[in-house]
Amino acid sequence: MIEYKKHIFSNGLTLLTNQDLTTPMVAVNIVYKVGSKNESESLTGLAHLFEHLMFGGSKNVPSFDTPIQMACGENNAFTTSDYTDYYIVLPKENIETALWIESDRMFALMINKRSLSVQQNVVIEEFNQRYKNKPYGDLWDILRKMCYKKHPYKWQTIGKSVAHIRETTIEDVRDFYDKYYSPSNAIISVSGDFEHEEVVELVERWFGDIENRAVAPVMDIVEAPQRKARYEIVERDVPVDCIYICFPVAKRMSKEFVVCDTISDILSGGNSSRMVQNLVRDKKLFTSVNAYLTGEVDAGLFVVTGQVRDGVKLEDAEDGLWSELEEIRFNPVSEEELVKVKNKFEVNTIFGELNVMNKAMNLGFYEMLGDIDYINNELECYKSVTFDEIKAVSKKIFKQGNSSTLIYKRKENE
Amino acid sequence: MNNIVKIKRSKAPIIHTPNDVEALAEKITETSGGVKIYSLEISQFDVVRVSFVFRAGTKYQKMPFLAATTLNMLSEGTTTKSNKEISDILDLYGIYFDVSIDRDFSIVTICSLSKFFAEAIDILEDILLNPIFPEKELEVLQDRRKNALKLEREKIDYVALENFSQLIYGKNTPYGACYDENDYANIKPIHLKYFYDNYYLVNNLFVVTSGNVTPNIIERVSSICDSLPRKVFTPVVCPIAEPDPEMKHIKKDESLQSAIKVGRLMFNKQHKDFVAMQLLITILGGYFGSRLIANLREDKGYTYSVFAGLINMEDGGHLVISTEVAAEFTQNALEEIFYEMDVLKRELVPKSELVMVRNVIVGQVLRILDGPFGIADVTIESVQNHTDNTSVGDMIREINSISAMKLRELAQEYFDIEKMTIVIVGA
Repeated sequence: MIEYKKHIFSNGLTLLTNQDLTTPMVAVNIVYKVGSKNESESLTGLAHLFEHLMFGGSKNVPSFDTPIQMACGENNAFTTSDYTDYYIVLPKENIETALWIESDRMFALMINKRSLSVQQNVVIEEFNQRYKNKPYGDLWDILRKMCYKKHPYKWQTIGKSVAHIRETTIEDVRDFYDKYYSPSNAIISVSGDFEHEEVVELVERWFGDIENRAVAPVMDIVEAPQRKARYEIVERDVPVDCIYICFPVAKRMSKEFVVCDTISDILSGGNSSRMVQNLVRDKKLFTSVNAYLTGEVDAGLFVVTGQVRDGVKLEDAEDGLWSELEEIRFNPVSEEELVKVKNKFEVNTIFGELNVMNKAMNLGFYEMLGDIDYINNELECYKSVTFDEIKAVSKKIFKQGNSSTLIYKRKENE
Repeated sequence: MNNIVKIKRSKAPIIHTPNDVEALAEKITETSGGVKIYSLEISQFDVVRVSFVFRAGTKYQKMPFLAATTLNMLSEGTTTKSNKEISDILDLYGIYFDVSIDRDFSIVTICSLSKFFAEAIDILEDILLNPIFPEKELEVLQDRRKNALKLEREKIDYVALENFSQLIYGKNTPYGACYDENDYANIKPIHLKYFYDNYYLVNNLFVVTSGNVTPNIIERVSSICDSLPRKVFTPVVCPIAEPDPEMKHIKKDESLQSAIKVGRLMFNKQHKDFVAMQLLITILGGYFGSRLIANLREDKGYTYSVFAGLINMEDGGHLVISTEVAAEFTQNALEEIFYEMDVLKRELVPKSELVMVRNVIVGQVLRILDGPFGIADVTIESVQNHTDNTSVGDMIREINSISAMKLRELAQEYFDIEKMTIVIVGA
């Protein structure tokens, strides 16, 4: 249970505060409601490249990192398909240093050709390091293309190709800033030893005079229902065969999502779960297994996956995964399995509220989802999941015709 | 316009540096068997963490992977419970159970909500006192660990790391050794039993508890400690000798990047220059605004990340600079790494930079100390280094007293490029 207060400023900026009397630190988090799903298909990777450029300095703050470091602070950022998050954690006496910097880059970011060109290289190296030069690095690139035909989730946050990153121009970047980095498209959240009113006043002081800019409208793109199973086999220079089976599921803010998350936990949450016990321990088809939701805001994926044990036939392994899905479709789960999931959700929630950074970040995330109260109500939603719901959702989702399967095979040695 | 005081954006807010940083002092209880329990009472959180730390790191093993396998097998079955029954309890009460190992120590940790602590400590007791190392579960674990290691060894950074350790410490020493992943298969339950019997001892252990720690919890933990057997334990000391510097280049033509490791043997935390050296290396490459990041990433765009660190182990320590760069810039990146070391040998670190890095370190410490769990890790490290949590404040005071002159002297003494070991994996 996290306590918070909300305030909306006249320029549209939303503020959430959480008072934490126990810590000398404060966390300042800003979510911009823009991610790779807002990109055009002809220029992907821009939201993430832009995140890098946010550290290049602004009109009154030539170097972003220096004042934060002087103020004993740490800052970083990440980009997802749906949003971009920037956070700073520092001693509470220095909260204004964080607000100064964050407000200045919302007010007047400096973008020059030199910093663009350097960050293009940095991002290309990130692309190489994480997605090209690593075993299984292209896995999600393939899976997204298989699972999404229309929705911009079909490309990864890093972008579809290195070429897109290289081709991005300074005009593209400026245009992106104008379209999305406006106060009304941002959520600031603060967790630390401050009264709500105090934070409202500080944020008003630093952000209040930033003019609102029109935010580009969000397009609601919905995938056409899948009718036929999709299946792909790739061979790569990897040590172990892997199987991925994905199913489309409802959007993040839906009961179906919660039911699916519960199912994924019954299947693979912890060593006592069904897939670990049956497929890894008993049948020894896999060395590790997992079931999870990708968790995007719009309709995302239910992923069932495993690393195949040496010497096991791929068909047998694949059948093994399906047998677990069949089982949950047709046979009821036990009371204990359900209690487990609910306890685990409660524990994770409490463990997630132990420091200011997690709290500030969570506040921003739930507000971005569109319902801040859900941050505390979600637990009730998990607790209310019934056996019937699990059965109904499993029947709806775990069908061959609804699946996209990727067999990621190890290349045979010549 | 509103009536809020207008700010001038061009004027930076005043920065306050915390004058002193102190870690919460640990309260020590000694069990009748002589085990020290260090507790950190932070009662506003309804959680408890307990960590058992044994001198049972990889340097004690006489067979590849034995120490880690023993540790990982503790929770795979006991005299009273199967693996499944143990997992059921851990998962049912949301008990976080974790093990970790390095060259010197192994650690078994549980975290739970206070309301489930009784269940958590019961299961931990069973795991620590009554493991049976069942063969069936061993096979599953061996397969998983073998696959995981095979996967790591596909990564250029990991290959570079293993080769670097071998060159720095010697491939036949406990700190430098690397083993074939197929060696996992040689381990049998009897070996695990032997390792457990000889290293998981009452006289080879300390415990750290944190969060909502009550006297009952201390009592319960004490009784578990004192139920462990007592046996003669002989510490293993890794022989340390400065190697002849070497440059090893492992070619991978198809690789888009090269992994680079540069460094040399140094010393561990007991050395008088450790803290000063740590400050120097932080300036070089230990934080986001470091000289190596500014040069290799923010100026040249050769890499996504570069890092320099002083690695501390019980019997020694080393310096390592680590990065993955675009293949065509491998040589340039190496030259820039040496260039930045050279600058630190020639020029004094400017005052403003020195103040900034001191503050960065203060901030890092403050963030680790925030919350009930980070402080437990700090305490474990203090005890491992034969000191206590006052060392945190002492370290900050020492950092604040180190001069630019001292840093330059250290750079001149240790940044000797002729003595650096270099590993490149990739183009």
